Amino acid sequence: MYDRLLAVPVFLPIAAGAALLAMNGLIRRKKRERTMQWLVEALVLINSLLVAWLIAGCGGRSGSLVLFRLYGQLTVMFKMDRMGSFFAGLVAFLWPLATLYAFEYMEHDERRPAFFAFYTISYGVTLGVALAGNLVTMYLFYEMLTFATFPLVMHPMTTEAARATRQYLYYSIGGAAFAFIGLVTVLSYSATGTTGFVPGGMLNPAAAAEHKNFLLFVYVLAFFGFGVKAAIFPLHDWLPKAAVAPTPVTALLHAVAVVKSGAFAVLRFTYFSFGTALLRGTWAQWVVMAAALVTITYASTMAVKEVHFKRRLAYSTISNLSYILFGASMMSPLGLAAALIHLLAHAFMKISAFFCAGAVMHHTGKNYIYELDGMGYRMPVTFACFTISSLSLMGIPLFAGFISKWSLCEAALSLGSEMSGGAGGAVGRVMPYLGVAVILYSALMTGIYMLSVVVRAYFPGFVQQVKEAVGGGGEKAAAATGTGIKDGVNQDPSWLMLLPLVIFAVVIIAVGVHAGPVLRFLALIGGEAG
Amino acid sequence: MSFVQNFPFFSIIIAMFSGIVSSVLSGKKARAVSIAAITVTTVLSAFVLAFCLRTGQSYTYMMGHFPAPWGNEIRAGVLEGLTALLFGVVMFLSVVGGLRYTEEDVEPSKQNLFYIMIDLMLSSLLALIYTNDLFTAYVFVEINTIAGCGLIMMSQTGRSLTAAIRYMVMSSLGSGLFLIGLSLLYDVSGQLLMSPAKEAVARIVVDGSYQIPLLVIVAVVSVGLAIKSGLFPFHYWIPDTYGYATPTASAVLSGLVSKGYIFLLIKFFYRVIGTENAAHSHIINALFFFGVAGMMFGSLRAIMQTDTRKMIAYSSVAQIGYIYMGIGLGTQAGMIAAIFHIFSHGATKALLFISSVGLYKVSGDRTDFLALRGSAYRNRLAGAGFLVGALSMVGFPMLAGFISKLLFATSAFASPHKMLITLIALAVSTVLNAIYFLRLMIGLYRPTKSGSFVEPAPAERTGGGEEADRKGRGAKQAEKGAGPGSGSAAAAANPWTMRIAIVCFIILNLILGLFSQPIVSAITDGLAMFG
Repeated sequence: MYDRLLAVPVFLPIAAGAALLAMNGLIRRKKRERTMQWLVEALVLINSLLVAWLIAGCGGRSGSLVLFRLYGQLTVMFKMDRMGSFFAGLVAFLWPLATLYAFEYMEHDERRPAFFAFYTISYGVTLGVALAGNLVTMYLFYEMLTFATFPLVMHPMTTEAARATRQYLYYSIGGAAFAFIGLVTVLSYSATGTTGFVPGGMLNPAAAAEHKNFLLFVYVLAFFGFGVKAAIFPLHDWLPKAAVAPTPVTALLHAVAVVKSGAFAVLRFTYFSFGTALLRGTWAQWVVMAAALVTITYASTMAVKEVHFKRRLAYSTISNLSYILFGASMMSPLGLAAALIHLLAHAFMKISAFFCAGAVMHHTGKNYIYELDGMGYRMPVTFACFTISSLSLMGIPLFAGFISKWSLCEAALSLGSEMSGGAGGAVGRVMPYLGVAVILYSALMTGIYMLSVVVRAYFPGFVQQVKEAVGGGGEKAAAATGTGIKDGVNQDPSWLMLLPLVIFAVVIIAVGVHAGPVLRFLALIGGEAG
Repeated sequence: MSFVQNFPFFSIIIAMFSGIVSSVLSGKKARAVSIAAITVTTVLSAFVLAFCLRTGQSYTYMMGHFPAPWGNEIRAGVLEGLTALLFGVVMFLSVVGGLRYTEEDVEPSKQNLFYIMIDLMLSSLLALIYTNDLFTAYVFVEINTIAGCGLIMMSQTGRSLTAAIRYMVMSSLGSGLFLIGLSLLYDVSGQLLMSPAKEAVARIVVDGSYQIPLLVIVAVVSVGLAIKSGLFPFHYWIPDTYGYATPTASAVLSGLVSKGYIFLLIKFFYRVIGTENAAHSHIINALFFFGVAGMMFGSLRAIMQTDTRKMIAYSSVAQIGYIYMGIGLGTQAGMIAAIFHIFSHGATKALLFISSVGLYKVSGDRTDFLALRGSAYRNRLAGAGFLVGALSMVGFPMLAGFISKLLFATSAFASPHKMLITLIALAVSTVLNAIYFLRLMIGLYRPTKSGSFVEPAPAERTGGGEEADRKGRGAKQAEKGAGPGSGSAAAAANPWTMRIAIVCFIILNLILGLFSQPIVSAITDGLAMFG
């Protein structure tokens, strides 16, 4: 019974979304749309509760369900193991809140039923990625995720949106095409003839040792293939462009569900299919680690340069996703645990930051950072939450971001001392320490690009003073300041938007103050799979 | 002997005679005869398949009273039965799906000729599948060519005439090479029936005599059939041919006819040359190379097109490349993948041709990308059909194309030298496929320039210069067409026959994608019976 229920949270939202699409024509009247929205919310909530129940029930058992046989040994299979339950739990926590937020954000949109249909379908598909019990199932849902989410990017239906969608599709499908090589290789070299996830990898050691370089090459291909969704340099360009989508999409999908699915897939592929024993200390490890570090440096620098609010956050997402990939590329238990804690922390920080940006855009129509002077006084709650998220992203102690960055650095240093014996060659001796340096640099950049927004919002005069000191260019800022504090109009959004924001802020602080239980749980995952 | 064993012969004859009978019938009656013939032969093929699966072996069927070395033979096994069945299904759906358009595009006085060509095409395809005699195969290759030419010419525009002539020239070249190969084979072995010829070839290989003539035979036959099936670089007749024929003709030509020749080539390798001899010859490597080149080139050219029909046609060039790549791997697994792709591409490409017509009809009969904007809202079913076809081409899991891709990729591991090339070629080709199919697909789901989703198509063709006029009219029509008008436009473009065809094609794609296991094992058994 328990096992069979595993498929329900995946297919319930998909079926509901499909039904919503089919009934699209019926929902024309305003009143019906309200009902539709609350039904969607109820369904998403029930689904999340179901996921919570399944996670709670999986403590002792590790349930698995073979749904059907795609071809030969390739089965569509769901499994609730620790790592899957971690990601599924995260997604299930965020989705109902994001749907709530979307109510208000989308209230003036013409094509709401279609939006909520695809939004709900994406929920099921993301859970499919999380609960996949083997590589084939994960690949299947990974591809489905592309097709479930592109209508959402396309939603504004402008030329810009069409262009962004096109790019998103090409990148994602191209990535999946290379990940497919990884899938087939794993299938061919598998010890059991299947692709089921096994902590520590499931390749046939004898065959793997024989064709080691080929396998490493395939690993690098698949890393970049799955890494496309995690926006790894130089395949990152779709993410800032996709910021054209409505904010609930950018926030939930392009800061959490889609991109984290990419990172999650890399983790699964590295730790549960290939196995770290094969990869540790090889050239493949240093190649992927270098790619992650380059991405962190590049994206956090670009974020400083970007003046569009959402696109700046998107660049920040790129750099933070590569933190996770950096953790993944350490090929050690500590690295996996650190990657997962950053996956969790970043999810809350970034969705919160995006929701703030969305609230500002929705209520004031301001898209660019230079327009934000004094906004902290007009939208106090929103910007309080934004400040918390900014501080956390920088890695200030007492916030979740500190815990994750600390774990990453700790893991890197421990890898460095391990490699100092010469196991990874000269490159291996340097890389982990380089990683720590890059994280510190990125923290500095994060401070600049996040706090500059906060400072503008709360100290409009300060910005003006700086500008005057530098000379010229102060008029625009002055004009903006004039309307800033004195109006005193509270433009904070309604509770639909504020509730998610406040909850996220609370979680960020809670994880930052009391991270013990989470860390212990993640150490368990690291221990079994590293 | 069981009565079922007569069925292959019956189905060839039924198809042929329905063509002859149709020559004195009116267009409507010829159509009914043709559809009936396709249905009957498909059912008969299903019986043959069931029979062979039950007995677990193939059988030869002697025509007339002369035994093996002199007489003529038909041979049926699991693979023949399966191929005939699936070809029959695709043929049936293509004809049914394009009924209305055939009526519109073909002159009333020539309707029956169209269906005669369809009947002849069916009978020659069945004969290519079932025959055990190389010369009979040649005869039906020629019948096939002529029927194909007739089908292309039927829409009777200037373009289709030049396309038909081009097709005729290239096909004749291919047939000529095939014939030369056969005469050489007859010279060195003295046989034209497949089984005795195979024994003779085996003797030649053991002797070590006639090595070079044998190589020439393999080369000439392969090239001849490659030209006829449109392998890169002999593909340049394809875009015009598929692009300007009537929808049914395009679907049949690209989905089945080129595949019939490939099936004959596979048969030639297995039943005459022997797989090992074929695998050792360098011809296989050449096929592999040109297959991969075709995958890339076809897709690159498809990306450059702005006309939907030509794009789909160039995509066929790429897909033929896939099939030859599978054959070129020179392994059993590669061959299985190639044969599966014959089926999956047949089902997918026919779906694309049929459903895209539904989109043209709601866009004022225009086929360029700009005119097709938003057409998936105006004709939802055709849009859905196109979507499924495009996703299958890109290799979306659960559709036919994914299984093809999977089979190709796994089979690559059996031939170490070609493994990496195959894997990378598959990945790159997937990206290229995604680029042109999904670009069009996004266009189909975008509102038109005037911002409307359900703007009905302009009634007549408009030139590029009358932009302003078109815009004005579009806005006017959008006003009155936002309500029920759009529904009726879609209904007019989607006759019920086409609805059935599209739905059945989608189901066929899903079957090939989800329940591929029995089909693949049937192919494996069939190939074993070939050996």
